[in-house]
Amino acid sequence: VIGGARGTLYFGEDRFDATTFVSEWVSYVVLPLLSVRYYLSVRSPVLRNLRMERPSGVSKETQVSENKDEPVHCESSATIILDAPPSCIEFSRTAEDIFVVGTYSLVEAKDAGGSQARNGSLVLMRWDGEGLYVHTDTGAVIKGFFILESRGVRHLTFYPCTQKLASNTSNKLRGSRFALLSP
Amino acid sequence: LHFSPHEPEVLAVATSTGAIEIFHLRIDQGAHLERFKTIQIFESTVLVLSFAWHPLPQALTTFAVSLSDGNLALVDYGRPTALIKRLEAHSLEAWTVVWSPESPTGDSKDSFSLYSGGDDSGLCTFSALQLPVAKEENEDADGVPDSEAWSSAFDSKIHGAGVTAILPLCNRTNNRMQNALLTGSYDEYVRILVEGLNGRWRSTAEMRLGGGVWRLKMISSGTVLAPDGRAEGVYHVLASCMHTGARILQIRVRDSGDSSIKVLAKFEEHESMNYGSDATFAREGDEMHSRNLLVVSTSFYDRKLCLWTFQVHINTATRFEIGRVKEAPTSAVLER
Repeated sequence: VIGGARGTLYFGEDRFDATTFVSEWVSYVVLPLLSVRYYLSVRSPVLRNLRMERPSGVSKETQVSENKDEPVHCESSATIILDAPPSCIEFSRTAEDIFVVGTYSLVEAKDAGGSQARNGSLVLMRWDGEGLYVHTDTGAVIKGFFILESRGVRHLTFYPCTQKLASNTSNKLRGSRFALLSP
Repeated sequence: LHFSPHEPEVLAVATSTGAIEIFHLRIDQGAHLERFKTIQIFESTVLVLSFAWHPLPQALTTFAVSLSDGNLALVDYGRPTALIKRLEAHSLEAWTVVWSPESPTGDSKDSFSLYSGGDDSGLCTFSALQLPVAKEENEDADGVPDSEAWSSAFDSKIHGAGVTAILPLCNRTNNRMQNALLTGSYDEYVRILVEGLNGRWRSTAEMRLGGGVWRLKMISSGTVLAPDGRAEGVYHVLASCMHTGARILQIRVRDSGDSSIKVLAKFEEHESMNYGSDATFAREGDEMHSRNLLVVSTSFYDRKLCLWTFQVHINTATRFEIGRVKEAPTSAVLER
C-alpha cells in the first residue's frame, strides 16, 4: 500500500474506487493529525520550551545549566551504506564539500597458503547540503536527495532514472534509490 | 589517507601492501581522483599503518610512516630512493605517527619532533629530527647521511594498552612553546600529556570514552585568556572511538599544565567500529555568532557512513586571541 504525493492510496498498481473514501480520510484527517502531532512533539521549539517548564521540582535555570554540561546527542542528517568497510576519511582543504573515504576489506584466501588478501578502494563524495553525490571511477555522478526534517524518515525524491546504473556503483542509500545525472 | 598540507590537491594513501599511493584530486569537469604515483617502499607483507606529511613547506614530498613491524621510516618520494631513514620505535605494531606542528625552537630550522604510538603501549618521541639539508648535496651513492644528533625517548608507563592516536597540542604562550599531546588508546582513555622540564611526559588529565580511541582530529584550536589572566589553549577535537561511536571533545590546557577534557557531543548511531571520521565547517550561516560543523563518521562492518552537524557558537564576549593562530578555523569556542 503506497501513499501517493497527494495522499491518495494505491493498492499494488491499481487505485480502487472503493478506496477513495479511505484515501481521502487518510489524507485529510489522519496524516494532518499525525503531522501536527509529530511537529508538536519533535520539531516545535515552543512545545519543547513549554515542556521544560513543566513542574518537576527543578527550576528552569538549573535544568538549562545541567543540559549545558551534558553532551549533546547528535542525530544523523543522512546515512549511506557503502560497498566496502570504511576505515578512514578526510575532507579536501580546497573543495570543502568534497571528501574521500578509504575502505579496507580482508578476503580469506581459499588456497593452502592461508594468507589473507586485502582489498582497498577510495570513494570520492560530495555533500552540497541536501544531496550526497558519489563520484565513481567511471566518471558517473550519483545523487540522492535527503529529507532533512526528520530522523526516522529518510525516503527521498529523485530525478527519474534516465540511464541504467553502472554495475559497479551499487552504493545504496537506505530506503532509497539513486538517479544517474551524467554518464 | 591524508591530503597534503602544502599542495591541497595531493592525496596520499597508506596501504596494507607496503606501499604509499599518491593521488591528485581533480575538480574540473567533475570531481575525480587521478593516480599519480605508487611508491612501493617496503615488502608487500608489511602494512603501512599510518603516515604524516612533513609540516615544512619545503619538504613537499616527505612524510613519516609507521609500520606493522613496529618501525617508523622517513620517506621522500621526490628522491630516486624514497626511503630516507628507518627508525626503530616499537616492539609491536606502530599504530600511529605524527610530527610536532612547529619546530621546537620556533625558528625556521627544519628540526621537528616525531611522536609514535604502538601496540606495546609505548609512546615514542624522536626529538630534533632533521631532514637532510639539500637534495643536491645528498645524492651521492650511499644515500642520505645520518648527520644530525637526534634523540629518542620511550614511555610505556602512561598507557594501559596500545597507543592508537596522537594529536599534538601546540600551545605558544608568552613566546614559550609548551609541548602537549592528546593521546588515544585501546584502553579507551584520552589523555593530555604535558612535557615536564626533565623531558618526560606526564598525564595531566584523562577521561574514559568507552571505546578504543582510534583516531583524533583537530577541529579548531586557539588561545584564550583565562579569568586569572593566564593563557589557556582551547582545542576542539573529533574522536573516533571504535564501538562507542564518535565524540566531540573540548580540551583546555593552561600554561601551568592544568588541563581538562569535556565531551561536548556524542554520536552513537553506528552499529560497528567507528574508525574514521572527519569534520569541516559549513560555509553558510551567520559566521559572527555561530558556525555549523559538518561531521562525517563511518563504521566498519556495517559499512555505514553518517553525516551529522553540530552547532558551533562563537562566544566573542569571553575570549580574545593572543599569540599566533595557525589555521583558518581556529578561533571558534564551541558551546552549546
